[in-house]
Amino acid sequence: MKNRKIKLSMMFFALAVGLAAIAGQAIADDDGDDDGYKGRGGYSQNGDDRGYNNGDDDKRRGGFFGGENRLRGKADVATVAGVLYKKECGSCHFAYQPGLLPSRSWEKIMAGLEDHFGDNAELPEEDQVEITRYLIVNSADYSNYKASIKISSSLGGSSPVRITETPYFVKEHQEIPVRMWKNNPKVKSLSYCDRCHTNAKAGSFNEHDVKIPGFGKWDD
Amino acid sequence: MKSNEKVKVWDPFVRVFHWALLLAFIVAFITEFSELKLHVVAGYTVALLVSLRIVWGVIGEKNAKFSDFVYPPAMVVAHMKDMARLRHKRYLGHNPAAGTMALVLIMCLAATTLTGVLTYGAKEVSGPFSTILLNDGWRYGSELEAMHNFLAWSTVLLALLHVTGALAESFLHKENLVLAMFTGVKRKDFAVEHAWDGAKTHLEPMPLLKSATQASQFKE
Amino acid sequence: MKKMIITATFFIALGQTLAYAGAVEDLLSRYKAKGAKNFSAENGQAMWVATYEDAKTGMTRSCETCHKKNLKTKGEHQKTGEVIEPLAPSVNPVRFTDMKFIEKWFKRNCKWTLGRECTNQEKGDFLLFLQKQ
Repeated sequence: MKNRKIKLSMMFFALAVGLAAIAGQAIADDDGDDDGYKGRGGYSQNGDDRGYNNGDDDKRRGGFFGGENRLRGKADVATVAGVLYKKECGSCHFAYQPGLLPSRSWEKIMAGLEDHFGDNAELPEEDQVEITRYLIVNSADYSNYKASIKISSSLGGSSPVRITETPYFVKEHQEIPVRMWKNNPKVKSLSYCDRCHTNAKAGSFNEHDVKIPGFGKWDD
Repeated sequence: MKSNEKVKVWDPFVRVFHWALLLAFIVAFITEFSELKLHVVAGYTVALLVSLRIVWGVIGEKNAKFSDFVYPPAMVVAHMKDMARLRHKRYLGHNPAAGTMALVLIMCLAATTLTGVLTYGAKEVSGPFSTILLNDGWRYGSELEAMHNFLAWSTVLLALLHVTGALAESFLHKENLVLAMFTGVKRKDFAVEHAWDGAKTHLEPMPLLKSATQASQFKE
Repeated sequence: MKKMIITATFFIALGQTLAYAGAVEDLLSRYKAKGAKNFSAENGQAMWVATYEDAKTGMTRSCETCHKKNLKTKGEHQKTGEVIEPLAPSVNPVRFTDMKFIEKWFKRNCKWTLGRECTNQEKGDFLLFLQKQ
């Protein structure tokens, strides 16, 4: 009888401790969310705050319970903050978030603006330098956002100049039938993020926010 | 033999586990798309409860033990055959079919939480597996999520079967089993425990809804 | 209130007109300083509608490929379909008010369409032609 009580108390104690740990972690996670561009890898408009610390990938990853205190925000990738980038690049195409490619890819792209996917997109030198710097500092290499982490870990050393060629991107889009994008005159190419990802500008590429023109909501 | 004599069947831990699990599962299920953080908290709670229940299934009290409710397959089949003819026996703890359901539910929930936490690591780069998955999380995210969804829906299906079984049993054996899971007590008469321990006659189907005096011959 | 709006509109319009005139005048005199002679809108128009063959792709290109025949309506990027605001200052007064912007697009579009950078003479001819639209 005494043994029974001891065992029962042990179980309830373990349950209480476990629940407290879960609750504690959940509350702790709240502090780290949505705090914008501060800290490691963040973009600072005045320049010198380069959180460069490449190589220790797992430091960017979540802790045991929530882990979102290490990750940044709910979005998949950091939104575009660079004014010049938005103005110069975003006036011709979707302002792809810098966190969608590693810095080595951005460097390659910015060095070849004369033939920018078939267009000439040359910039005055000072703008070219400024935008390159912005892209590098905010590239997937140094971002704590989950899409950035997944894209950079999918690359395995390659430096694609198209986001659509990164293995993670390919995997995430391969189940979409061609008639919904390539043969869909309202989409044409997977390069036009915001034609289907309704929250692409906000850095959210969640599949629940996908609406394919002419086909409606995407649910797999 | 008094027919309304009560006996303690479900110990406090089993009862708290049962209802806490139901609550946590419902929370996890309805927050799937909307509130990831709450979903994760509820999921961890399910995992905690299931782990402790497995421990309790080994060291716990009589009716809570696996050894008490995991029956040989032949007995489960025999019981189900009797069920089909509505001539199955009444058990104090789990009957062979109910015991099997409990075991399958526990395994299914364990698998659901395991794939859930793996999905969390792969897709959200969070939780205990975010570091272990390191450079491969992006590869398995969708597959893990699909497995997680399948297992979750299987659990729902099993739980509905479990409820149907409990309600049917309550009706057929004229005993409120849902209430018993709150109070822990059941009617003592014509209970059969470990039917396979005794003579073969114990396996004979008992006519349903017979009077207690007739049924009492099956008493231990 | 109404008066204020009218006044504000007047000053904005005036500002744009001044900026417009200033940018093109400045550029024209800068081109002249670099050796260009008198500019001709006719030459500008001729070059504008002419077609050029791209050496690499064999594609026939012209200013009208993207800016379209009617300069008072919107153009369209030949590949992406991205909208290009009308070039004619008569319907789009902010056109030709930013020297840096003009020079950037001259460089890009001359290289893409003609396969080479435009001379100061040619850029001046283009500007004179477009300014009148």
